[in-house]
Amino acid sequence: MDYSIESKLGKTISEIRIGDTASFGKTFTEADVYQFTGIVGNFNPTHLNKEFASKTPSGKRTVPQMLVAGLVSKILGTQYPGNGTVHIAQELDFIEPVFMGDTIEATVEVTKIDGKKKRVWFDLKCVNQESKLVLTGESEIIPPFMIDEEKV
Amino acid sequence: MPFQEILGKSIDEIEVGDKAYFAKTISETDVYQFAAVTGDFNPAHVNEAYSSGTFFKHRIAHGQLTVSLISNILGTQLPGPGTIFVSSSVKFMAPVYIEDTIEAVVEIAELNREKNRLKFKAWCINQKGVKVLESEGMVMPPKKR
Amino acid sequence: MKARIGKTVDQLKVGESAYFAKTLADIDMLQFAGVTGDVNLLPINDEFAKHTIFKQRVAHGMLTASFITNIIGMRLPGYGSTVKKQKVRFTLPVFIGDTIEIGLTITAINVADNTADFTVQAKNQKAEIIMTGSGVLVPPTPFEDEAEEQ
Repeated sequence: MDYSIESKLGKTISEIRIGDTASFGKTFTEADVYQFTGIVGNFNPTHLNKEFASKTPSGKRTVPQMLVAGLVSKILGTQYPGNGTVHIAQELDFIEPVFMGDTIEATVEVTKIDGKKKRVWFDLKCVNQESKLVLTGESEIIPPFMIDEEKV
Repeated sequence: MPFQEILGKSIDEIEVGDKAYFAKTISETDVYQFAAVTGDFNPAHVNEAYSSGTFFKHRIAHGQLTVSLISNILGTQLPGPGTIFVSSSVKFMAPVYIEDTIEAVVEIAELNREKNRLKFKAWCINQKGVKVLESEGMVMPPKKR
Repeated sequence: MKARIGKTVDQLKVGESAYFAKTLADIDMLQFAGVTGDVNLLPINDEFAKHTIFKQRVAHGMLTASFITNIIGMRLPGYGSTVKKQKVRFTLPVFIGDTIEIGLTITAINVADNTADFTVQAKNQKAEIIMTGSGVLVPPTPFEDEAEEQ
């Protein structure tokens, strides 16, 4: 197979600029929650049990926090920088609960670049459909890079 | 599609000794999806490192996953759509490993035409001909108007 | 239906630990990609991955990090818990077929705030450390009408 990684690779470190942003928004449905809890094995009734959830302060089943945080993985891995990004570290601050049916918009912004160590840092902000901040954080990644000089 | 067309066999259309079959290779995905739907993350099913130190040596499928192949037959073939499951008992005889091919067989054992109930026998065998489970139970076949 | 909750803040002990392990299957990576939208080629495309330093598909870091919530939500503290803050570092790549074992330890308890600090460490089947981290969790609080320990 004639595979050109060059054409598939996301932004390399030389193409990344401080202040660049990328966003992605998604409505979190019951299907998302049930699939996610199934992968991770987290059957916490706050996510899966209506009767239980009705007695909690939020009153409704919540979307697993790491599922919401998955938005940052999506942006970094497919939009900016994109394919080949390696996630090194992630800090998350969960501010408000997210409920089934909420639409969350995540935005990342480049804050720091270390050319020598080949690392890039991003700030993360997630807001819901009422523009309420639900999640913030910081990501550290290795941006995509080529290891073969020529196309295979 | 006329409703009657999709119903399975009514009790008048069933004889003692009737058989139906269903076979499937049990994939890792099947086992993981079953764990996901039911919540059964027993490491015997999802942890290969753990399983290598047990009697079974490798991850095994949930017993109930294999049993469900029988309810597949009851609900889609014999008697078929419209069947109501009343009761069953199961005996697990051998483990089912990921990538085993299992054939489930249902055989009609007894008919009660007055009460519209029938008793069935069922078993599952693997690709080596080993019986992995035996079951028997009772269902109500669909009634045709 | 009685509401079964996990350990409340006064039932937690500093030094308490709990573990969770799972052998990573193809379905885990594909479903994670699907449900988050993270179709980064590195976890899902063999041909692409061959041309990276890893040579094979690498699991999403956030998938490994997500297993932490299995422990918090299921075992320690258990049902009704949430996470306030979490910080993780992915130290080694994780491949399909690797068995990830995560350990979580309670390091401090704040009764007034109803929070507890924790640290996490994840290893693969070769006992290599693949992830480290720490955070703050919120244990469940008993419901007014009826609450039972899990």
